[in-house]
Amino acid sequence: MKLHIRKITFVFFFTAVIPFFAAAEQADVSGTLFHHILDSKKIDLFPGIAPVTLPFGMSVHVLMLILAALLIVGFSLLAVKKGILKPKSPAVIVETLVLFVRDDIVIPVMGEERGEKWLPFFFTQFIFLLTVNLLGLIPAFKTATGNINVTTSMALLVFILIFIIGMKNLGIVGFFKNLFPEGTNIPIGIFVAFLEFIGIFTRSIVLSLRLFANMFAGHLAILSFLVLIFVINPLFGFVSMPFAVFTYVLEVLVGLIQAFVFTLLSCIYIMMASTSENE
Amino acid sequence: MELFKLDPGLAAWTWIAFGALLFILWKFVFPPLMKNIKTRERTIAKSVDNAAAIERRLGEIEEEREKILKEAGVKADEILHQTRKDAEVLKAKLVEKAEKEAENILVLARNKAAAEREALLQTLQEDLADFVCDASEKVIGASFISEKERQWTRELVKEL
Repeated sequence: MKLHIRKITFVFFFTAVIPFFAAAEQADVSGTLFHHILDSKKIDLFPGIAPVTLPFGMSVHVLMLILAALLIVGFSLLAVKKGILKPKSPAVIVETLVLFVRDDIVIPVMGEERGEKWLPFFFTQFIFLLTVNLLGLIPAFKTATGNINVTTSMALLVFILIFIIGMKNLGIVGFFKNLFPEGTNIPIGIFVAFLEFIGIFTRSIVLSLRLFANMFAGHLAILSFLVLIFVINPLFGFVSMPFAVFTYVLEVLVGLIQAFVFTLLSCIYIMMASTSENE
Repeated sequence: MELFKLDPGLAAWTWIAFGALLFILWKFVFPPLMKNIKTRERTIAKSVDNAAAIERRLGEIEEEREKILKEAGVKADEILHQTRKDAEVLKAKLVEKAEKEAENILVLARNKAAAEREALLQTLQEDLADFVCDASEKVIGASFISEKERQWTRELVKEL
């Protein structure tokens, strides 16, 4: 096991560091850093090989999103194919994740009846974000959730759902009435309702920014440690490499936590919007 | 700034990828997956219930066993006590019977011995009377003693 970890770490850093040598020769340091984080139409498949232009004008982040979706679909279909009482490894992994989302996120927030109904949505959200977060840790791949457009789209979906579910459950009038605090006069009520509305909007933006900032910053931290080798001295690699490895491991944890936080908060916001103050 | 550059295409692709994934998972993965999970949960719950029922039954059986053992012990004690009592009675009866039998045997033996002694004495007296008669005849040298006299001699010897 230890040997495998060492091999994986070596391969990762070999494939991750070499492009830096190539890139550092050609571009400035910040350009190199952002080249490895920001979206582009070309993908660096292997050190020494010229970047490949993606077909249909597709960007690397779009490719990551599609790849994540395909991986999840493939793995999930493999999971449901297996036995019932003695599930094999794909089924165990998928079922563990489903039970985690159901028992630790959805049911505690929404209750059993509503939670069972919403489980597929929140599970998909969790597994999709988790896969996209972790895909970015594979050399040559990029983290699509490190792009504000992706996280905003996901948050926007939650924002729209807050309105749709809220209006469906409480009625259009009931939904907006729910924003007014009870027992206050009209001018203050309107002001508070406006603040509540801004609150819903802000919560969605924060949801998006939190995920984006964490994923972007994590990768930036790893790459920054590696770039220090070229900025300070190649011998500085002995110091910066362990830090980069530590940040890389930490990033796996961050990817998991951020997917969990995004799903949990989405669940809470949708639940808050779909229940009246009295409930 | 490129970091915050708006990319509607990427946003649309995010929705498409997520939407397609949600549709496939909702339609093809979740029904069998949830069925498997529910079946397993039910099986586990049933097994747990069964285990609890078995444990309960085991407790009851243990209680029943202890009760039966206790009852059997009491019954065994009773039987033992009764048997001892019966044995005592039987023993007393047998001893009494044996004593009676021994007494009877003794009485019979005594009677028999007495009868034999009487018969022996009678034979001895008759023989003695005959001997006296024979001796007298030999002394006198003639047979003078008739059967009547012999009988008379015998009765005389008897009276001695």
